[in-house]
Order: sequence, then structure tokens, then C-alpha cells
Amino acid sequence: MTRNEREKLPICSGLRDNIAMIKELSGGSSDVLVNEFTTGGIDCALICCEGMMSSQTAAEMILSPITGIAPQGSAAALFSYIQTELLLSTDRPEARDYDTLFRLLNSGFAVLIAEGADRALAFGVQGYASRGIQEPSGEGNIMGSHEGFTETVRTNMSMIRRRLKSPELVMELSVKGERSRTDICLCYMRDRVPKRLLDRIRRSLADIQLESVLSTGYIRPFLEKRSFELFSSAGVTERPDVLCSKLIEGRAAVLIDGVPYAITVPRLLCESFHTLDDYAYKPYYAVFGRWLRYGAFIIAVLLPAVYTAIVMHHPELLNSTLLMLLADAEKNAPLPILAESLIVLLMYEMIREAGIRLPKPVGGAVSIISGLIIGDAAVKSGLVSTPLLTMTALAVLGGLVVPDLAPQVTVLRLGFLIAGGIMGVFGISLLACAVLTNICATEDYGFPFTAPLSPFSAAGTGDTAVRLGMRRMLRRGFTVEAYHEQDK
Amino acid sequence: MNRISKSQLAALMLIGDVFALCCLHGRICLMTAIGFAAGSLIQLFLALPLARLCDRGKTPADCGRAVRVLLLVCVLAWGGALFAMLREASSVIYIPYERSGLFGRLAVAGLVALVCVYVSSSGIKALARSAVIAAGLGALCVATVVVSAAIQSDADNVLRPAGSSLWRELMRGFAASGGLGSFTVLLGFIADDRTDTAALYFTCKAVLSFVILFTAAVVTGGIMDVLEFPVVSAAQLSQPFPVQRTDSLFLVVFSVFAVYTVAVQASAAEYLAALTIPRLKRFRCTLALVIMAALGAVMPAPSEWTELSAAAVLAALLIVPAEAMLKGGVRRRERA
Repeated sequence: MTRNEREKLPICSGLRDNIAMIKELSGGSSDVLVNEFTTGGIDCALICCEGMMSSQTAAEMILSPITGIAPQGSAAALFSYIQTELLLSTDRPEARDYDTLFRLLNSGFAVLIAEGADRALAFGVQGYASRGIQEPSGEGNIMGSHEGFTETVRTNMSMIRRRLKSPELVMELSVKGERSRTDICLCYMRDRVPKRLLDRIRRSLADIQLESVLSTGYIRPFLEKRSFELFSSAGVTERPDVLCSKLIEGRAAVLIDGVPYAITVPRLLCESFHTLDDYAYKPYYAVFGRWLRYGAFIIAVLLPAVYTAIVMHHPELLNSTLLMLLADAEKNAPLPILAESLIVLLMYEMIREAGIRLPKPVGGAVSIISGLIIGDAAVKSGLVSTPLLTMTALAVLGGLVVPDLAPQVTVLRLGFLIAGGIMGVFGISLLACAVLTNICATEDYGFPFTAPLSPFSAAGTGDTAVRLGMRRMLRRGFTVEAYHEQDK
Repeated sequence: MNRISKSQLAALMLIGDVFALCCLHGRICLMTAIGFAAGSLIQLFLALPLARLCDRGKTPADCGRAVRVLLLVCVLAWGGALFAMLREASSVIYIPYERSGLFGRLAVAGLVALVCVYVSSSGIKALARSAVIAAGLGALCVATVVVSAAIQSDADNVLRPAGSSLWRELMRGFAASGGLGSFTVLLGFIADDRTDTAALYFTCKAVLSFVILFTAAVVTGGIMDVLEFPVVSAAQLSQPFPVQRTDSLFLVVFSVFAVYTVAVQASAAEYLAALTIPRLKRFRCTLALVIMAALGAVMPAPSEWTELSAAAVLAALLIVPAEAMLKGGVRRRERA
């Protein structure tokens, strides 16, 4: 019999056999603790996983009340007494097979087995060490909440519940990952989410066959189409307030235990340009900020390519003063401008990568080396021209304005740079056609990624091109279903 | 089945019409603008029976094999003409490496075809959605050109005699409307009312043709005799800024429109090929583009075969209603 088949076996009624089986299945792992004792005249064992539960809670809430039980006739009577007379913990599931028993054990439950009982009682006394609620590192804002998701799915669920106290908020827990047995929580507002969307997400989640779920990247591909898409049609957020706003708009979310991010479905391109601060400021300033982000995205993707294309192929686009300035700057550069641009961009990407991966104290040194030494030295030695460095810096800065699209910006910037360097504006235009078509082809669950721009939806422009006043926004009662395109 | 909206179809077709106008060869004058606009309205009139038929559920997919083959030939021929127009117009538009011999020309045509393969293989929905955005960009450019042309234009050019007749300009208008073969095909994909769709498209086409040709006429009227492509030249002459040129920005619109125009023909050809030659299951789109590019390499631009091109446009618009009428007549006779 394989290990998997043995795990599926029902719990047997002999205490010794049970303990032996648990030890065998756990491979004699040192962190599985078995505490044997007698209560109510019946031999029992409390099994727990060290480090996953709070010893103090277990002692106070379980061991102390259980050991004082008067003699009971049988294990069934003992379990019945514990279930009906003692309130040992609020979360008290039962396990009838070893598979469930181990899942509970590894989730921080204390499991009680008894001589003559063919089931086990579990008590939620989780007390493992986890990171506290902190400010999100990637989605900063000024006027909103400063709480971010943590690695504990139940804490994340509570953060959402605290913000949406409606009974319409539903959270469905399930387990994914053959080995990791990761808790996954599907969240949605019952009265807002389109039923078809929910059914299809459930089906997508049911299709997941993974050994482990260690980040959002394990689940996201199953929620997206299989075809090649540059942009992801499943969003990610680390802010509970942002997630709540998406749930209210009729989206569904997936929380993963061990991951401080939530996946939202469906995701639209325009969402990447929204921040929660847009709703904190006056609409005119929010509109300004939003268009600034749209512009920054265009600059981030196209500026180095357009600069290279103009200097290499279309100098007539520049006025004479600018042309002389650039000619003067570029005449001493030893490399062709395309190679120069590529080197500068790749250098930036390397510095960025180093900044992310290096320990924080060394990160500061990287900034100094890259900014002062490499940048300054490259310009002074004439290896890189100042205008090119300025354009690259502007493009990089533009990319930082829309962090949500950083991977796409990085790759597209390089792609457009090569196209512009080789074929000029013509090459940029051709690549733009392909990219535009790819973006427009992105559609999951019937929600076009480019909505409300194309297909155009007047209802959606109130919170994309502009930002209406809060009263008008609330009056329109918008949900994401307005963008749904039926497969006719 | 994938459905598109009437505004998406209008955007898809208008992009092709503007591209054809950009590549328009020969003299243009006020009469040209009137002829093209009037031609568009006549086309609307001719397209109404087709639209009504589609509204009643009869699309080109329900037509006989001969009709589908004829439409396929029209679509492929117009695709070839588009490549020919691109080849000819590139003599006045700077495309890197295009003038560096046969390799350069092949590379440019190949690149356009490659992008078209990707664009048309993404499906009609993606093509239509992206065409709306591309059309928006085009509209912005046309508006810029028109505004700057208003400053550069010479009012005397409006009345400058060009020795043209309304009939000749009507024919030129029809000849430049080769995309109507794909319009006939794509009308079956419309989710909205087809008659409304036809009205929207042809009205927009009439207005757009008139505005572009009138603008080109008033800007280039004085030097028309030395120009090969008056619309392109008008865009080059209408500089919005006094100290710098914006010709290359016009190149953006030109190349984007070229890609979408060819991609629409490829999509229509792929659809017709699927209906007509069911055994051909793969690479239909690529094959269509290869045929178009090959035709483009050997055939002259449509300006040299105006009458034939106009006749093909008429055939593409009327063939489906004509077949329906014939079949209806036969059925009535059989019942009688």
C-alpha cells in the first residue's frame, strides 16, 4: 500500500495502533508530539505539532478541562461529553481519516484520539509565529489605511471582514497542493459577483493539480487563459482596502495561506492606473494624477525607443537647436546609439535586480555605486551621452509611477527600443500594432482587458478617463458586470 | 461565433479607407472630394439590400460556393493592391532600409505581413477592439493635419480648375473602396442592426473622405502637378509647429493603418477560405497573406486599373443580394 493510500485510511479504534500509524506516517518527525493520558476512565492521546500551536492555550483550554472529566462508559460517550459539555475551542472539526488528521495537525490544531474511538477531535489552538500586520511595501498611499496583508490567511480574512461587515461577503476555504495542503480562500460579495464568473472561477480552482502553492504565481495561470498574454488578466493586491473596493465592484478574490497578496479576477488594464488615494483627494486632482500615470506609462515604454529612432532615422523631427545639442552630445560617444541605449537600460535592470535581491544594508551601497560612480563615470568618460542618460532616467522614472506594470514595461521598453533602433518610427508602429492587438485579445471570463476603452463603455469612463465625485459614483451602482461581453 | 459592434466594424473599414486615400495617386480637387463623398453615399444605397438580407439572417456564409469564391478573389486582390499601394507610397515616405534594394523592400513587406499574421490570427474581436483604438489615434492625427492645414491652406486652391468630371471622380472613389469585399463578409459578424451599421459606416466614410480630400486639395492645389501622392504631401506640408517637421509622426498613422487594412483583408480571406475550402484547416491566414504579398509584388496600384477595381467593388456589394434574388425567383417559380 502506498503512502497516499495509507493516508486515506480511516482512523482505527485502537489507541496504540493509531499512535503507531501516526508515527509511521509522520516518519517519526521530531515536531509531532504525542501526549498520552487517561481521562474519564479511557486512555487518550493529545497529538500536536510543535511550534504550530500555543502551548499555553492548549494547557489552559484543553488539557486542564479534559483531564478532570468524570468516568464515562466509552470513547463515544467521552467525545460526546467533550463536544456538548465543554467549550474547549470555537473551531472543533472532526477527523475520520489520517489525511484530515494530518491536515489539521499541520495547521496548528491539537488532535485528541481515544481508545475505542474511530474518529479524532481537533481543537483550534493555533499559535505559530507569524509576521504582524505591517504597511504594504509595494502599494503605498497617503490618505488611506496603512495595513497590508500578512502571510496568515485567517488574519487576512479577518482584515477583509473588518472592512466589509455585510453578511453578503462570503469566504470559501479550500485546500490546494498535494504536498503543501495550502489553505485557499475564495472571497466574493454574493449580491455583486456575476454568477457565471463565480462558477467559472470555482471550476478553474477545481482544475488545479499542484504539489505545492507557495506564491500567487502558482494559482494565477489557472485563472487566466492559456494563450500568450503580455498582461496578466488576474490582478494582485497586498492591501485589504483595495481588495474590498474590488469585491464591492463585483470581482472575486483568492487568498492564499503563506502569501501576503490576494489575487483578484477579473482585472482590467485601467485598474493598474488607479490608487486608493484617487478617492481621497478632490476629483480634479485625482484626474490629474490619473492622466499623469497614463502619460508616465507611455513615456516608460516608448521614450528610449522614440529617442533612438529620432536620432538614428528621423532627425527632421527635432528643431535645429535640439538637433545641434544632441549631435554635439552624441558625436563623442564611441558606440552606436542603439547599443548605447541597450547597455544603459540593461545596466539599470541589473542595478534594480541587485537592489531587490541584496540585503537591505548593502542596498544603499548599490545605489551609491550605480548612481554616483557608474552613472557619473560613464558620462564623464564619454561612454554614454548625457541626453541618452536623461531619457533613460525619465523612462525608468515613468515605470516607477506604475509599479503594477513593471514586468511588462521592462520587456516592452527593450522590445520597442530594438524595433525603433532598427526600423525607426516604422518599426515602433509595427510593434505597437502587435502589442495593441495582444492587449485587446486579453480577455478572461468574458471581461475584455481593455474595457471600458475598447469595447467602449460610457458607464466605465466615470472612473477611468476622469474620476466622478463620490456622490455620483455611488449613485451609478457600478459593478464589473457592466463590462461583460456575452459570447453570442 | 465572435460578434463585433457596428462602431468596431466602422472603425475597421474606415482605417482601410483612410489608408487608400493616403495612397491615392494623381490630381485631386474639390470635385474629387465631392465625387468620393457622393460615391460613399451611392455605396450606402447599394449596400442596403445586403444589410437587409443580413438582418434577415442571410450572411455570406449561407451563399453558394461561386459567390464565396468571387468574394475571396475580391478580398485577395484588394489585399494585393494594398501591398502594391504600400510599395508605391513608400517612395514618398521614409521607411528605413526600404530603399536599399530588393532585400530592403522584401524585408519591409515581410515585416508588415508578419505583423498582419499575428494581428489577424488573434481573432476578429481583438482585431476590432484594437482597430477602434488605432482609429482614435488616426482621428487625432487627421484633426491635427486639418487644423494645421487650415493655417497653411490657400483659398484660391478650392476653385482651381483641375479638368476633372464628377463621373471620373465617382469611379476613382469606387476604385479606392476595394475594402467593401471584406465589408460584405464582416457584416455577418455584426451583433447590432446591419442597416444601421451600413448607414453609420458609409456616412462616416463620406464625411471623412470629403474632409481629407478637401484639406489635401486646398493645401497642395498649387503644386498638384508635381505631386505623386497629394494626401501624403498635404500631411507633410501641414506642419503644426513652425520650427520642426512632423512627417515621421504621419508615418506612425500610415504604418498602423497599413497593418490593420491588410489584417482585415487577411481575416476576411481566412473566413471565406474556411467556408470554401474546408479541407484547408491550418495556415489559412498565412497563406492568404502570402498570396496578397505575392500579388502586391506583381500587380500595379489600383490607380492604373480604376474601372476594373470599381467593377469588383460593385460586384462585392451586389453579389450576395443578387444570388438571393435569383434563388428566391427560382423558388417562387418552383412553387408556382
